[in-house]
Amino acid sequence: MFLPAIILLIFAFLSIVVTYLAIVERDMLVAAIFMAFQGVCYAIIYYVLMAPDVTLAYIPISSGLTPILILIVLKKTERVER
Amino acid sequence: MKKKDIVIAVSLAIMVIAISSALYAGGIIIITPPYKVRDLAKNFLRYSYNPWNGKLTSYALNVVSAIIWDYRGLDTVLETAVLYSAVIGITVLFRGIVEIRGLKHRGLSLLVKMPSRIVIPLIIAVGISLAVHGHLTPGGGFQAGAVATVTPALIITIFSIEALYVLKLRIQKLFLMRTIAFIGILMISISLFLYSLMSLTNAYVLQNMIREHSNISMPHWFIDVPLAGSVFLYNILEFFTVFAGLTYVFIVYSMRRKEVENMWEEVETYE
Amino acid sequence: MSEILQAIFTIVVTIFITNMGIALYGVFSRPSLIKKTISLVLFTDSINIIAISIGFRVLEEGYPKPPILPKIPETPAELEYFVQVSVDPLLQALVLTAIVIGFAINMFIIGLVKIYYRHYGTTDIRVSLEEGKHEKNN
Repeated sequence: MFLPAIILLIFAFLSIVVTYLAIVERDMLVAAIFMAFQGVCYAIIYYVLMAPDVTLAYIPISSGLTPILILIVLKKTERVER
Repeated sequence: MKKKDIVIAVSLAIMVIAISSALYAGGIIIITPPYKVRDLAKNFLRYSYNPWNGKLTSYALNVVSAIIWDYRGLDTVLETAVLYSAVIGITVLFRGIVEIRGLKHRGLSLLVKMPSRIVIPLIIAVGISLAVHGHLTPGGGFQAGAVATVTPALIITIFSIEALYVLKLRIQKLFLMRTIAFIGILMISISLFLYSLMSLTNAYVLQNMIREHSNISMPHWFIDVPLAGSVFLYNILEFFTVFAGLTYVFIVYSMRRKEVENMWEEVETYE
Repeated sequence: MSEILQAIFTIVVTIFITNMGIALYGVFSRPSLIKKTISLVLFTDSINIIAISIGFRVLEEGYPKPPILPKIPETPAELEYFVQVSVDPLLQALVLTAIVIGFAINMFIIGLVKIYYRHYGTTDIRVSLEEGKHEKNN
């Protein structure tokens, strides 16, 4: 009972830090990497909340496909926000 | 990223935790999970695999898969239609693109390429196993498709889009593949209904197992493994739909300048 | 024992709501369209995780189980025990579809951003706003 509660607290803490950094960051390549970190944090929280199906769908989409999609678009457009 | 930002972020997180724990201790905000699930969820859990009540069960050990493809099947068919039409919208936006083979390309270094050659077949294997075991263990069509799409995305970023052309993944082929898979989903959803019209019995659209007033069903047992009838078939077809649709989008987005320079030109001359 | 979990749960849900607020700030106030898309992704993810936490439950003893039968049940009593310890599966099914639809919508939005860049030569939203003002004055 202690262990899930502690994991929940630690990754929720990390997710708020990473979300703030992803929004504030001006270099959008770094922001995409922070977004992938947020995906990992949320995936572990999904697992602790006993949703393995959602975890399996969420890991590839949020920490694999969406950052790669944004990296491809950054390569074609501009990288730094003014 | 500066040091100042990190300090602000950490102090923001500590502040939120402090305020919410103070409010909880004071009894102002109490958001607690209940001790019992709702009655609707209880019914889903009870009847998902229930051989003692043959008229309500779907013979799937994974309750989430049973809900997605059996109890709330129309939801999911329409959701697949949303995915399908999003990809059609992207096709319309990027009309007039041409695939050109043999342009110059340059991937990442050999240090990245060699491990990814080993990892990529494993990812495909994981995706297929998630699709095939979707009704028994955690997994299903969407998860399998999303996991398998990581492969082309990795190939595009690590090697080049040229490597996908060498693997014969052309956009026309992918478009055909996902259209066939989507039509297959629709055909399976009305197959029992068509069968009942021919054999003069009763059946419903999107029917899986035996229901009230209807005695025909999909196969629910394969040698010594539960098959869950249409849930298994839907998972396989959904895997192909999601994989082909997402890979199509990745190829269209990562096209080189020479391939997209004729975009919209043909349409404008036609207009 | 489950009081600790309930206290932590309140804090965690508050954190998700704060995440929603931060992401909404990004959607409204950042000028770059790609940054707006990133914020939108974070916003939908926070909403999804709140929906999952609605379906969670606690037990008097032990930790709840996922809504997947570990093996084929042999007696009705075994099935009834599974009903007593499992979490709500319906919200998980809804969130699963929401994640896939959200990804489809994000892909389409990113395509629109690419078209915007082709037209204006930048992904800054203020450029098109300036142009709109200019046209209105004429």
